Amino acid sequence: MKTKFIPLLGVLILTSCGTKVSKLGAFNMDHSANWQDNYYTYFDTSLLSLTNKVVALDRDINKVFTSYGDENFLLLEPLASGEGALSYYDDFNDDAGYGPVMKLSRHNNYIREGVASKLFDGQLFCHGYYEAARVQINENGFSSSFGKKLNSADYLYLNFKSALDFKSNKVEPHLGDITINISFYNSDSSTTYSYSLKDVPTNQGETYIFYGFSLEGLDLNNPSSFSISYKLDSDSYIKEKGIDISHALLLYEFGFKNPTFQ
Amino acid sequence: MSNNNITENKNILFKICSISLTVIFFILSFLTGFNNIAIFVLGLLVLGISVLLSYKSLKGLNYYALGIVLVPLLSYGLIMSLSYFSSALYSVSTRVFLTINILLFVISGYFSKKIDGFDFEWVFRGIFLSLAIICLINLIFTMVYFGPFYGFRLANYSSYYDGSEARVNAASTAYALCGFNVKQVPIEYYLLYPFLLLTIIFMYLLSNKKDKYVTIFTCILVFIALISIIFVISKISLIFIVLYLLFVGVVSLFILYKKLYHKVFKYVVYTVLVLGVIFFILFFLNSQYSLVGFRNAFSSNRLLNYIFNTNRYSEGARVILNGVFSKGKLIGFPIYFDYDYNLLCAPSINILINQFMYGGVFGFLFFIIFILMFVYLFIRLRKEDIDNKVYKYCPILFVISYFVITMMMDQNSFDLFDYSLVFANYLSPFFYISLFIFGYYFSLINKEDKKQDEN
Repeated sequence: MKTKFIPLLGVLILTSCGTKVSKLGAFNMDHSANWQDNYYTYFDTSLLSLTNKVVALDRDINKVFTSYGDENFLLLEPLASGEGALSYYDDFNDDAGYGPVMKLSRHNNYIREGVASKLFDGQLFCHGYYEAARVQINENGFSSSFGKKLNSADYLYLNFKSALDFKSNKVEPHLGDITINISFYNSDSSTTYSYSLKDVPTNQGETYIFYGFSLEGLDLNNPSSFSISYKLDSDSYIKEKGIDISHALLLYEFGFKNPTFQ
Repeated sequence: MSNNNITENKNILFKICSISLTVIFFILSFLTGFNNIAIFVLGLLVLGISVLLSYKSLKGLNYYALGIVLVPLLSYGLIMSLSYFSSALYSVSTRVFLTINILLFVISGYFSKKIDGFDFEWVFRGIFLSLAIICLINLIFTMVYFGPFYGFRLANYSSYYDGSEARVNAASTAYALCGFNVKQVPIEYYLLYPFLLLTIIFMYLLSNKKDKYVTIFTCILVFIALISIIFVISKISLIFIVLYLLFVGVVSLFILYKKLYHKVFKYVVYTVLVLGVIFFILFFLNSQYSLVGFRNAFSSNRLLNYIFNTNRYSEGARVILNGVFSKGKLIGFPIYFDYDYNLLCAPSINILINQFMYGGVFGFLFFIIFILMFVYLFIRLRKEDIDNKVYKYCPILFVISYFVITMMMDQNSFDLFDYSLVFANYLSPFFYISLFIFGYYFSLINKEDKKQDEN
């Protein structure tokens, strides 16, 4: 009995090796002067085998910041003090600031580890630390785990910029359309729910796009992981130029209002 | 009959107390420094036991000598608790208990000499066993999280926590017990435990009675130490590991071949001392802003550039030594904070240079005196006529090993993400173990003095 137990223990330890390696980031990821080196591409491939149910979101229906934003996209402009010009909306009207109060890491310690923790630390703006504050993804996107299952939340928010490599190709800021896909995965269920959001402006310059969609009536299926990817739909400006240009989605903050985890 | 009973009872009492001292030191080794009150409670227990068992013979002790010895040690404690460094970083209770703890452990060590049947070998087995358990826990957690030989696989990766990136890359970190939590720590902190555990080799080589059980016990512990070191090996830690194994090898050779010891020991010590002084002077010159020419000359080739220019290992020493003699920093703080009391530079990896940071020039001087007192102890003990070599040398070798480790990789910041969580050497349990050892062996020397006087 004992002799059987020892190799079993060995196998158990070996199979559980390196559980935190996926949370590490390539050392020079944040510091490369070459824009194309900075993509965060970690994707848990086991999630891809799950069946996807896509729910398309309408900018005009599933909105949170309705009364004040332009079709639910708040354009945040960071002030010198580090706060955004957001005080006109109730949820932002807090002395501590929206980010520090609402950040997801306050509700879940597990997501404090790893590169993706940049998305949950409540920092809505760069404050001059461009690479340190953002997660730069390509069209394939990335996935991250909550560590626990999400029970409920009021609304989802996402702070981002969509960017083109205009430095090397001399592309001027302009409007383009992308589709953002946010998928939720439940480890016990084979179905995943994916929400896609169409017609997002791109290359707006110095402003950040803050988007919230209401989860009321939407089924998230108690997710334990999520992924974000995007697709560059159409960009007439680039088409006219006829060049192959690298682009990215720069994510700054992701979270829920009043989330409860199991 | 009744007399026999009393002596038997007494023997049992002594054994129980010896065991409880072992257990206390076993627990003490687990404390990772940030809980000075816990060290105080254990110190109080140690003092209680040693006074309880030796109170009849306490009159014969040389309190005058003890008083003289306590002056520099208490001055060290007072300077450290009053310095700008500790008042900025530590709570009042931590600072108050610092001096009291120093007093507690030296005095209880001094009294423990008087306990009949007190066996230091057992206390050390307790300490080594606790080191081995810590090593195993650290090893298992590190392997589960990173996998074996991650030092090479993860050389280009960095860790993140709450949005911020670690100061060092993942290959030079490991997971280790910090209090009751397992945290990601710099590799130097992880290596402290297997390195100290390796000193059990000295204990085994010095021992006269090597029965089967002792051999097996030693082999298992050495094995644990070695796998803990091998599995986390990386390019960066390789230098520390080679240097330390060299130290262990040289000391073991000296123990095994006495002739070699008589011939070479002196020269080895002189060489190390001279090299140490040269490096100290070079580091000091390197740190002075007005002598940029020197720094450029030092860092002219790649290897020297690695040692002397600004990098993780020399930056701390450079910043600390640069500020040593500036105004108002003599018992102060030659390293700077931002407005939130966050340290803007990591401490150095050398325990001596860090004393400048903790307590300025005076703190450094009293710490040097403390080390010199150990050197004096070692020289005096060699002349003592004691058959049991484990008893004679092992504890001192343990302390020397601790100093050797902290001179090349003083671990004072457990947190990879925050400079200001610095745990000075005077919060480490090993500092208090060395104080206890000092008190104990100092008492041993004093007793011999008295006998000579009587003769």
